[in-house]
Parts: sequence; structure tokens; C-alpha cells
Amino acid sequence: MRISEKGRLWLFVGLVLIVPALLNRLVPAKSRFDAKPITRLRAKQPDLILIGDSILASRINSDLLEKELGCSVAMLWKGGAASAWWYLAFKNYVVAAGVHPKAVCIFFRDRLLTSGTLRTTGIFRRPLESAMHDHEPAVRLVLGEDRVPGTGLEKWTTLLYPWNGRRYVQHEKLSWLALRTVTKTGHGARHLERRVNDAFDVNQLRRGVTESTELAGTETAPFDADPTQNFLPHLVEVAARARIRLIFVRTKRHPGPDGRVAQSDSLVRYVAELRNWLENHHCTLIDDTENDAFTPEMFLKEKDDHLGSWAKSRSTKIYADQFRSLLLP
Amino acid sequence: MIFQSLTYLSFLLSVLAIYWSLPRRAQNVLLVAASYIFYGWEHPWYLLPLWASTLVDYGCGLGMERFPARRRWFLVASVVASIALLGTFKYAGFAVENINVALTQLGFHPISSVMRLVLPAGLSFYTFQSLAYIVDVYRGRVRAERNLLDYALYVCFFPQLIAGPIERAWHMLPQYRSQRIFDPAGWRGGLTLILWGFFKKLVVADNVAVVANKVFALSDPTFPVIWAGVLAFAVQIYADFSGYTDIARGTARLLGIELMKNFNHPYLATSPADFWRRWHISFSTWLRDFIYIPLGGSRCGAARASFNLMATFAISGLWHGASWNYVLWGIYWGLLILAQRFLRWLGITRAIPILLKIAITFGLTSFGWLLFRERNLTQIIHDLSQSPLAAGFGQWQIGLYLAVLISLYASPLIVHLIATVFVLPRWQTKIILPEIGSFVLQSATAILLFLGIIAARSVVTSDFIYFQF
Repeated sequence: MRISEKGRLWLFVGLVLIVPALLNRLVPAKSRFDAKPITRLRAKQPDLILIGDSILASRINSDLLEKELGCSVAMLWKGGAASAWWYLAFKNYVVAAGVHPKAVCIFFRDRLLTSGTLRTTGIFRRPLESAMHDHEPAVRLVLGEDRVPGTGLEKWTTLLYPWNGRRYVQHEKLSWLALRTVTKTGHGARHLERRVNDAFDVNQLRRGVTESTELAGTETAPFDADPTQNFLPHLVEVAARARIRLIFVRTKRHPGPDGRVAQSDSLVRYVAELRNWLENHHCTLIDDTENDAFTPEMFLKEKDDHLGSWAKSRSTKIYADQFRSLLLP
Repeated sequence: MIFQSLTYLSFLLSVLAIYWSLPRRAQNVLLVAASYIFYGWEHPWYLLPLWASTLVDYGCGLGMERFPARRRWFLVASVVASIALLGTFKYAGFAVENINVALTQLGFHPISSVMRLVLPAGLSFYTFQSLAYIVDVYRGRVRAERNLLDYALYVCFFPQLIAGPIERAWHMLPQYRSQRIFDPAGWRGGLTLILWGFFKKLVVADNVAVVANKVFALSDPTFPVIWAGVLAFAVQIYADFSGYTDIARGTARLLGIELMKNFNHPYLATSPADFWRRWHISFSTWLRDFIYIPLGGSRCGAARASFNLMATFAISGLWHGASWNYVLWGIYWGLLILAQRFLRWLGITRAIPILLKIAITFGLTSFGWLLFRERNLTQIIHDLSQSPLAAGFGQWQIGLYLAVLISLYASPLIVHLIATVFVLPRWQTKIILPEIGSFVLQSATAILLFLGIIAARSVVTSDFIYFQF
């Protein structure tokens, strides 16, 4: 049978669009759930659990905090994590482990608690999927669906070609192949990976290169505990069901030379409404923004909200003082 | 409008659907309207300098033919208008900054500061394309275009408007004047070229850009790390820019228009001069035809020829951006070509094996990319002062890891290079694929490219590098 040139063109377009779509069906929908944190929590049975991102990790030394408070402390943190991961870590690790801590503290900056879709795609997707089960109604609600993040072309592409949403898998494989090529052994590769991460750590960057720019987009958003838009109401609901006390810690951002943090009127209003809402839902808010104990020289560098390693012990002691009274029976 | 968006996809499909149902004249009307929508989509004011450039050069072209005795005046008017346009948007802020520095050094008060204006995307490209037209009309190489619509299309044709190729009137205007024929086989080639362009941009360039951006954000990179970053940038800028050109050429082909080739495996160059015959060909030939040769080229004394060369490359550097690092980059290339001429005169270059020549040229090109990528002269000096001996084993391992990672991302480019330069030309003389065989090969290639884009596209996308010029 002879096909016309036009017919061949249509066949060509069809093949290019359909064959990859069919091949894409062979891929698992998400990364495997990582259950290791559950095992660790069960083994430790912590009295206090801290959840957050690298800001938390730069502020607290868990061993020192244990000594200061005289109780066991567990930290669940991921660099670059935001509210979606905090919610999943609380529900699928803390609650699922069946531990009974006196409190769970969630460390956040400004409006991050109500920025539901922030850091849920791209390089942030894998840690999210590792903390996620196949059926996550809250994630489905807030992100639109539980497996197809993104908007516009990105979303449609992922619906038709699931590999699009899991590109990080190929990048991780290539990175691992490069590490193995250089070091020859798996152990050496992991060691080198840590050194690469250290070499490109935020404190090695030039002045002016900061990681906080992505927070700028939400600067005028009002407080809204809409369960279809953010994870805060889901988090509070899960905590209430599990009878776990939640303490939210708003960390101080990098202050000016006078030690004060400039805040817009809308942000001050937002925090007041957040406090109100949390107290109405039997949660506690610690706001460190006005806390003079966190001085400018404790911060890693200009415009960076991380604390320097030199300030970690001091910062841990500040938090120990704050938590001590709250943890009293 | 950016290529990698749903908006552009919808735009292109709509244009194609309407375009092929129209007669030729109406096709041109559609293309001009579509190009203006494309260009003014996010910043409608971008259209004002584009229209100004189009009208001035169209008028000057006609004026040259109607008043031959005053041709030179029209040429000067057009050139001054183009330089004024570029100067206002691209160089005014830079010039005032430097004048202020000089005045301050001499103890005078600085002149009032000039606000840096937002540079309309593609300004340098369409201004140079318009200049090429006006000089060609002046030289009598092309007739002045009487139809404003066709001339407007020559300036604004959307696939190449933002980042070239910088086309010539004698190549484009006859295509716009003639009937275009829908060619399904050409479409297959065009679609494959578009996929290859997107693959280069999204899979290769954007992924290695992550490495380059990380390295060039370090405050104190060591020798192996900085040169791994330079390697990343060398791959990035080639994949990014040639990827754009492939998308532009592929899209034009869907519209029945053929754009010139802008790259010819530049990293296979065997000398600095050879590199410029292979890299951004439309720009390097523009410089040759409209700067270097009018200055006297190499058909004059050695000193004058050297000056012509250095001036041409300094302008080339400045064309890329209003910053001293670009000027330095241009001067660097001028010096390299002078050195090459000197070595050739001494008869040294003939003795070097070809593979070594390619390696040396790639090394020299990469060194140039360091000057191009680092905007700050202090940082350039810092990078160049890093000693390989000062870096420990750990730093070398990190540098090697980055180099391997870059090579993995660049491997499709290497496969393509081997296939198109070494394998396919030999096969074509021995094996003639039946029609169905070439269809299957083309479809398989396109499927692989599409799969690659889906599965390995970078999670971080960025604008095409040359959009900023």
C-alpha cells in the first residue's frame, strides 16, 4: 500500500505523539514511600519533634536541645521543604509512627504556612513523593491532584506523559553515574556527593546570590485558611485527631543592622490573623521576629535567613528557654 | 512570547492553520500581523522601536533609488538612526557610567546619571539585519523593496526576530515575493529540526546551565571547579544558541521559508579564524561584509590589517552587550586571530596534527567563554589567578565529577556530531535508504528526541542566552 506524502506527515506526527505516550505508561506513578523516619521515631519515642527546612537545621542542635530540656528530641527536616512536606511528614511519619510527643513544633517563615503549592514541583517533587502515599486527599485538594503538579503546558504534558513529572529521576541517575565514574565505588560516590553539596553550600556563594527570592511572590497575600488552597487546616485537623499539640515557630528573618526586621503592614496583619486562627484551633504561635536575642551577627550572611554554624548553640539555648515553659505538664 | 510555552504552541498552530489556507499576499499580511503579536505579546512597547527601524530603513532604501545622487545621505541617515536606536537602549547607560568614572578620577563632578532603559529583545539582531539591507541597497546588490509589507516581514519574521539568524535581503525578500508550496516532506524535516532545537535547549543547555550557574555563583571557586564551570558554559551557550536557530529554521520551514545555517559544528574548528567561520555564521559574515572589508580588510599593510581586525572584533564584543567583559572578549578573539596569522606566516601551524589543532582551538574558545560569562573584571582576575597546584585532591574530584556530568548531558551532541560529520556522509555514498527506510529513520529520531525532552528536560528553565543581546 502506498501512502501519500500528506498521509506520511500525519503518520509521522501521530507516531511522535503516541509512541512516547504509550512508553510513558510503563513508568511507576511516584517514588516509593520512605518509611525509615517512622522506624527512627518509633525507636526514639521523642518527647519533642521539630519539623522544618534548612532554616530549622541551621538553628537547632538536637543533642544540645535534649541536654537543655532533659527530654528526647527528634528533628524531621528537608532542605527546601515547605508546607506540603511538613504536612506529609507530620501525618505520614509522626502520626503514623504512633508516638506521643508532648508537642510537635513546625518552623516556618512569614507566609510559608499558607503557601500550599510552593516547592511542590521540580527538584522538590521527589522528597514530597517519598513522604506521600498513593492516596492523599489533602494533596489532591491543594495541588489540584496528587500526582500532576504544575500549570498550563507543564500540567498537560505530565498528564499525557508521566515521565515529564519525574524528570528528576533521570537527573539523579546521571548524577549518580558521574559520581560512580569518578569514584568507582558506591561508598566513595556518596562521600563525593556530600563534598559536592558542601562545595556549593549557600555560605560559599557570592554576595547577592540568595535563596529567598522565591518568597517574594507571596508578599501581599492575606491570611486565608482555605483547605483547598493550603495545608494548614489539614495539619491542624490531623493533629487534633491524633491529640498532638502543635507549636508553630515563626523564625526571625535576616534583620537590619539595628536588629529589627522590616515588615509590611499587610504582613503584620497576616501574622495577627494567623495567631488568632491558631489560638482558636488550640495551637501555639511563637513569633521570633521581634526577638532581640537573635542578633544580626548570628546570621550566615547578608539577606540570608540561615544562621551561621557559630550561632547554632546560642540559638538552640534560646529555643530551649522558649520551649521549657511550654512543655511543662 | 517564549518558544517553550503553551501560548506559543497555540499561536504557532493557529498561524499554520490559517497560513496554508491563504493566497501568497494574504500569507504575508498574516505573517507580519503574527510577528507583531509575537513580539509585542508581553511588552507591546517593544513594537515602537521595531516600527521606527522598519519605516526609516524602508524610506531610506526607496530614497536611495529615487535620488541616486543623494544615496550617501540616505545611507548616513539610516546608519545614524540605527546607531541612535541601539545607543539609546543599549549603550547610553554604559557610556554615562564610564564617563562618570573618568570624570570622578579626574576630579570633576560626574554628569547627571542616565536611567538604564530596558533593552527590547532582539533589537541588536533586527537593527543589524536592517543595516545589512540598507548597505546592500546602497551598493546596488539588491533593489530597494517597494512593498512595505514585504519589507516589514523581512525585518520582523517571528521565527528569527529575537535571536537571528541575521538574514540578508537578497536571501529573504525573493522568498517573500514568491509563491510558497506546502511540502509534507519539508514539514517532517522542519518538525524534526524543531524537536532537535528544543532538545538542545531544554535537555542539554538548561541542564548544564545548572552546573555553570552554580560554579559562577561561587565566591571563591578553585581551579578545577572554575574550569568545569567554563566547560559547562561552553556546552550551554552552543546548545542554547544553536538550539534557538534550529527551532527558528524548523518553524520557518513549516511556513515554506528557508533560513540560513548559523552553526557548522564550531567546536570542530581547527583555528580561531575557522571557529568564526562556524560560529554564529550570519553575524560573523555580517561583520566581515559590513565592517572588516569596508575598513580595508587584509588587503592593506600588516599594521592596518591588524587594526581592522581588532576594531571588527571589538565591535563584535560590544554588540553582545554594554559591558567591558564583552569588549575584552572581542579583543581576545582579535588577538587570537592575529597570533594565528603570525604562526601561519612562520609556518608553524602546518606541523600540528589536526586533532591537536581542534583541542587547542576548543581550549582557547573556552578561555574566551570565561571572559564572556564573568561580568566582573575583578572576578575574572580572581578566576585566572587560581593555581591548579593549590587545589587539593577533593577539589579535583569535584571538578572531574562536574566534567563527567557535563559530558553525559552533552553526549547527544557528540553522537549527533559523529553521525552528521563522520558516519552519514560515508553511508550516503554507499547505502541509499529506500523511501520507507528514511521515513522510519526520521520518525525514530523524532520519537527519541521527543522522549528525551519529556524525560530529561531540566527542571529549571531559563531564557535563551542571546535574548539579552
